[in-house]
Amino acid sequence: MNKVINKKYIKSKFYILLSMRKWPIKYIDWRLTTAYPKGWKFALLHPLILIKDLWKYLEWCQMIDKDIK
Amino acid sequence: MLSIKIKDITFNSPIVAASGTFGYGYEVKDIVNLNKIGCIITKSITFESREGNPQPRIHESSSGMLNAIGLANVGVNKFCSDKLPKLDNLETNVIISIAGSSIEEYVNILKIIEHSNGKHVGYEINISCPNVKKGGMEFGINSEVTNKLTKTLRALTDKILIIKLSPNVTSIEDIALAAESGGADMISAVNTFLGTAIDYKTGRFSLSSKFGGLSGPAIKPLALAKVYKIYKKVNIPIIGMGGVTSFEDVIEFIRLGSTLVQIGTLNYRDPSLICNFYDKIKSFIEESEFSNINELVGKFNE
Repeated sequence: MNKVINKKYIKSKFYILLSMRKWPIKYIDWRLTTAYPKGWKFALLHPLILIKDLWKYLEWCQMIDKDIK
Repeated sequence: MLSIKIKDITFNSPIVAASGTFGYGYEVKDIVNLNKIGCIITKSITFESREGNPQPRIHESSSGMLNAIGLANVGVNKFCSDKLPKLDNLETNVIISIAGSSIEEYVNILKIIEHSNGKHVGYEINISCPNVKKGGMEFGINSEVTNKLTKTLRALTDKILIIKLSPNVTSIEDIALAAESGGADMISAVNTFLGTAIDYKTGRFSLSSKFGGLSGPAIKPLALAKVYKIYKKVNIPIIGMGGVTSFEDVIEFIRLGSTLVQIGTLNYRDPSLICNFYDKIKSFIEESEFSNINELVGKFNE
């Protein structure tokens, strides 16, 4: 049962990620500048931090989606 | 039906993109139907460019978000040369957010932007940033300084002048009254609530600056209370904000006295979600006894 829930959970993260494909580069650039002092340069130099933060962000999206009616 | 007129400026809808959540404004024009929002408030501009606080400066929390970005921006000169021209062709109103650490800084920024002849319709004066050492908070907690700053800026522009208030004060009504008597056209209420988070295993703070501003659905009841308190005291229009995630939330803010409603944290989830509210609010008005959105402002039962 837990495995099924986990699969669903991961799948919904994938769909959130997929929905971000429409975001223009200039918007993604601004999001990275907001998150990190040197924006995309920081993200490129610290890929592990980027992946960890992206995972946290996707979890937050799943959580906030429950608040969105 | 949803249009609102403030100082000869028509806002297509009561929905406003909050400062710092829509970039400088032009970054989202390809993914958001701008005709469905009343205006965009730009990221706060300071005199010098700022990198902001060290990373980590965003912490996702239950039903909200803690941020301590620290007013990262390109500075007023680069804003006027690189960003402002890109905002002139947007299909919605643009309001420029200004932040500073002294009255002189606010004055200098406003003067430079005024001379740039942009098509923006007004300024939102951020006197309430909780997560930088000098983020205007010394203005936001003091009625006299708020009044002096508002009067000084009022003398420099005929455009819409909005004062954005901090909720982290004992009496927000007093600060609102000080802004009103200083000549503000509108009050934005409220900025984020001061908060912190810590890792329970390591004891390390989740934000590099220890404290940040809490936004999102978690603060909505707190923000509504502040808007109601201000509405009971001042006569100028209020832009309510705090944790809006649905059209019902927008209506709640309007009924408690907001003329316009800002949406912030939701834009971090998906900036295009903001457009969905327009049609829903329109349907709500059509099905209600009200003929337009203006009639709904302050319609609550005591």
